[in-house]
Amino acid sequence: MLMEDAARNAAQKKRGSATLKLMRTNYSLYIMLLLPLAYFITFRYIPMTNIVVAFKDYSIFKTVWESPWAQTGGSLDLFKYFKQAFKSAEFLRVLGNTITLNFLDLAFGFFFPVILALLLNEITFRKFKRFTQTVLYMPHFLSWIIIYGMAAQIFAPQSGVINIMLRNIGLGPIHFLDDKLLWIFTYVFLGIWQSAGYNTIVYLAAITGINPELYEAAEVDGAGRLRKIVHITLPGIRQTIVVMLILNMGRILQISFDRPYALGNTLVRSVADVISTYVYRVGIVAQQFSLTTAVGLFQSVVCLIFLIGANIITEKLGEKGIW
Amino acid sequence: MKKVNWFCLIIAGIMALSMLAGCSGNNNAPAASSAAQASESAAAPAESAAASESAAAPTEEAPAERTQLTVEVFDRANQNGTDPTNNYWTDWMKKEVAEKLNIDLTFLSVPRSEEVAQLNVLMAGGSPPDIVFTYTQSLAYGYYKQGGLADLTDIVEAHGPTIKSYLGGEVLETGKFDGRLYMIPAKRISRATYNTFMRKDWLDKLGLAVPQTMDDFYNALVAFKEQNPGGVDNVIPYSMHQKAFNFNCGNILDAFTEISGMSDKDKFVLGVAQDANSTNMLYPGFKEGIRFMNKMYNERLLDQEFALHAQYSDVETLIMRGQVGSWTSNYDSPIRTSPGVYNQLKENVPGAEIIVLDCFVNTGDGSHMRQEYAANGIYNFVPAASKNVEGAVKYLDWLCQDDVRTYLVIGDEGVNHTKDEEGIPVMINLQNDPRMMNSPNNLDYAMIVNGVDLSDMDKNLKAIAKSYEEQYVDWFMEAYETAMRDAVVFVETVVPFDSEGQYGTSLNEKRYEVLAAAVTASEADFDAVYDAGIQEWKDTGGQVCLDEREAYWDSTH
Repeated sequence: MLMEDAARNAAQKKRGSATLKLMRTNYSLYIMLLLPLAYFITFRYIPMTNIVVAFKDYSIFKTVWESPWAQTGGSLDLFKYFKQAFKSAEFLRVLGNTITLNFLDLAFGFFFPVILALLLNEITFRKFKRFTQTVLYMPHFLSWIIIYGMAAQIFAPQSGVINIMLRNIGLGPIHFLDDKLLWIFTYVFLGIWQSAGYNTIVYLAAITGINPELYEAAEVDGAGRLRKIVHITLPGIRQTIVVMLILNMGRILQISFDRPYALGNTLVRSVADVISTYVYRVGIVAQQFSLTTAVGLFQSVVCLIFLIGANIITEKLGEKGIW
Repeated sequence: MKKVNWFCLIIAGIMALSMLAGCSGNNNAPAASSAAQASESAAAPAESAAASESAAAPTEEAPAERTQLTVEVFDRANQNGTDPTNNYWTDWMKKEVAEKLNIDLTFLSVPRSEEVAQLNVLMAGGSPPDIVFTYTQSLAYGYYKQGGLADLTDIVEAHGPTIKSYLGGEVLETGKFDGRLYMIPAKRISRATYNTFMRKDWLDKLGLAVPQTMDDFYNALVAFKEQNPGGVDNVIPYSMHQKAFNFNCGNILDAFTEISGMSDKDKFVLGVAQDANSTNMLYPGFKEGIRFMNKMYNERLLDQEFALHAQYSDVETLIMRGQVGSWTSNYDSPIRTSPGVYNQLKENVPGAEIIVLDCFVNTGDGSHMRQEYAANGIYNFVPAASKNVEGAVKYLDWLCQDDVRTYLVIGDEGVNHTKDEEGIPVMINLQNDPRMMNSPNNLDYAMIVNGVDLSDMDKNLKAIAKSYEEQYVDWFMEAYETAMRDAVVFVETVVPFDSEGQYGTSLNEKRYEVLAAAVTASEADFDAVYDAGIQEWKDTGGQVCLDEREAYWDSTH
């Protein structure tokens, strides 16, 4: 027993000193790490303490710590704002919408970059490949306000290009932007259009990491293009796909503000109103900071659960997770 | 190995630099302003020396100690505009206030479009300007409830004689919460709200008379749709935007709203959680107004893309292109210089003519009932965190003085205005001149008055009329008279409620959603969609607000 402990201690010591030695030789790397660390502590961890706002009757005229803990009718009720949120039909609706839109984004949007990356990889004419890539990245750099402007020109029921063409051949207008179901379709479609190209980067990078000898060997064995994709490229980037999927699961309740806000209108609000627009309206505009902090905290906790859950499941399935 | 280290160090260095740059980027603005303050206070002793010489003048008992006062001002981001915190007008005010009140005046600008969000940040920041303002009463009430507003009752009593004499009664009354004065509202000179306009040249082309009744109005729209008198692509008989439901279709809704039979209690209780000047969707008859619009939509008389027009300016573009037959907006909107709808339209469509409609006959009492603005405009208030509440009140009192107010509003004769034969000021539209005004009649600096006040409504009106291009003076008078005929304020006393503070914004959004759904429903489904929508609105918090209002009414009557 004792011997074993001693041996382990010695091993640890050795490992410890090895770490120190490594740190000493690569000190410049650690110096480099200090700054991002400082950044995260100052701008991520210290502000995180303000989460207590969710449990307080926060008044903007007092500091966070001065504000009293949440109360109902004079007695302490720390989860008052969480209860308020879950009792409100409005919050439940935005929660449902957020999940629906994000899930559809994931279901339809997730594999597009993979397919695109595979296709790009098969282009042998390099200049054309570069050109295509650049064109595909471009939409990523457009703001949603501009994308909406373009979408309105194309999809509007009366003045949009598509509907003008349909009208000319005697077909009724299709309400891409102001019919609830079609709006969801447009939302997902525009999302894919905007980001699919840019998201190929990570897969293309993974593909370059595949050993070219594998392809040569396969060619010798008489494998065609499709075979090579299915048996070499795809397995080669499987790990990347899994990591991206886990990260995306971690964002199931997180939704950007500009996309639903820019694309939405009063006719589709019942499907387009999401957590971010709700937090803006109720928190920033109507000053209910405690309620919206509670919503934000709930959102983060759910995301964390999804992230960890997805990671556990992938590890159970025999893949490597993200940590 | 060495190379790698160097590389890392360089990267680390660059990152450190960029972070510092980021920080200083954030701090730039305050640093600049504090520098400005410093230079001002450096200049101050000289000025105050001058002031103490003139302090012998017995007019004002200037306080012995110089105090600091910061006042919010809108940054309207006008093209060719001057810096709102530092221009001819601010210089004049700073000089005057330093002499008369011994106050060091500073301005803090807030972007007009982000007014509410910025004000929240300022108030939460702990050192807000000494005088801030908003048009949103519920916002101010929210601050009041959290103890964020200074009580001005006694200070105005002691130091605000001109405030009391100029704004006294009706206007000042709207600045009270629970019987105490917390806000100094501005006086509103023109209380006209909206008008509905129509293309007269289209009517002429079709041989139609100017509509006198709702039926005429409807028939004119049908004719526009079927015969397209302008020969345009995509003719839009009546256009509006997605959040039009009060203001930008107000005439139609007012025509169906039957207030004559309503008790005062109903008017008060049902006037729940609406922004100012809104046709209340719970009032009797309102539903019929929406039904009329539903019919318009289904017969393609109403803009089929209204939900895609985010704001009124989108509609304006269509009007200027000449595609729109009729629309509703600010009572004088076509002749306003920015964006100059009427002029633009005439340029694009030679011979185009816009008239004001007066065909909205009320289904209840046959009057031409429509809404007007309340007597007050923007709400000015002093945050509780202010260290110079007294100075703030004195400053507002100074603004109320006749000569100060008049000078700010009409400026210098020969530069900002000329006088006509009756002595009424005619404003000159100054551009690229240091004395140009960033807001009409320096509204942002005058604070306590919205427009030219010559202490006589007839003269005021003439002054307003003459602020437009000469060719539109008669047009304006007709528009004003139409907008004010049978005009009423639905609920005279505005009482803020906690529930409305909590649900107000959500209810507003919900209302737009519900009404848009009702307007676009099929005619057969209309009742079901409308009633379900109202129920949804009530469930979102509308019922809570209704109950609080009713309880308040019962307890006070």
